[in-house]
Amino acid sequence: MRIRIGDILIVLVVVAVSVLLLVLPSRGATGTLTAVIIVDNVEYERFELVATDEQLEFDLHEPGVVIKAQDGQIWFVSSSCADQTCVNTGRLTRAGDIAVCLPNRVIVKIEGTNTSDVDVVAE
Amino acid sequence: MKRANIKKITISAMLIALALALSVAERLLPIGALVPVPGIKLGLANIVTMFALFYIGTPGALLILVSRCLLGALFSGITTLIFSLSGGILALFVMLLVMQWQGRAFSIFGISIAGAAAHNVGQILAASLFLGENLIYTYLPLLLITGIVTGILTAAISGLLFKKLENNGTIARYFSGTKMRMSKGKTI
Repeated sequence: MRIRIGDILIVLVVVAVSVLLLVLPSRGATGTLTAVIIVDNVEYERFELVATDEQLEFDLHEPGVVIKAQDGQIWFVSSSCADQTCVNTGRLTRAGDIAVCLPNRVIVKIEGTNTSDVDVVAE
Repeated sequence: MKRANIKKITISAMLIALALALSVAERLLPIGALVPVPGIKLGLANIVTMFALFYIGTPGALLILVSRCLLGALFSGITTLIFSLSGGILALFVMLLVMQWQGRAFSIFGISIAGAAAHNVGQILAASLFLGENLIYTYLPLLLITGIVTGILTAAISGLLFKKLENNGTIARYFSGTKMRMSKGKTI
């Protein structure tokens, strides 16, 4: 069970790929932020995310998901799914941030003014 | 039915049950709260896949993996099945590839980490296609880094376990007839 040189090489390659993927897209773009809610691959809601006290609430009864937006943040409040990953993701604040509820097929993401060219790969 | 066949069926069934139990049990651990990425898990069932690759052979390992994923869908739903299958099958073949140089260039740690990484890549690609949303930049880096840690963990468990099973004669006694891919001497 001795560690071999190839093992270290694999770890280095995986770390390198991770860092590359983190650095590549232009996250945290400035300018106006747009919140997008996608349900079943269809855009459900798109609005400018502004820093106001006014609270927007989206109650999606069909998949059983509640999403709130306030103070320039958007987040999953609750979900009917088992893993609760979407709720645990917490509040999205920056362009490029994304929260996904796989079981309910609901996506919440924030787009920046210049991030339109980032999301073209998996169409 | 031939005795050898009965033995193979029994061993496969036992390993499917074990893999299924591990994959269901690990869901009780709140790792998703720690790293909030869809589909994140310890990957303990990969211990069984590696065991099968080492001591039963590729067809058997593939059968055990697919059966485990199908039965696991009973607990986690059909959506999860797409990701566990795509990740699992890719991981199996990547581990098989790395195993060709096992003992020389790579140890079980390399096999396990490469398998974890391949599983992550497979499941994120499937999820991206399924949701029509590019999740590669946001989720893959986190999954890959977590995969290194969980890969080391499962490799350590597997390494100790397989060595023990080889040393106490369990492998020679129960798995000699099932082995299709012969390894030279001691595997671990």
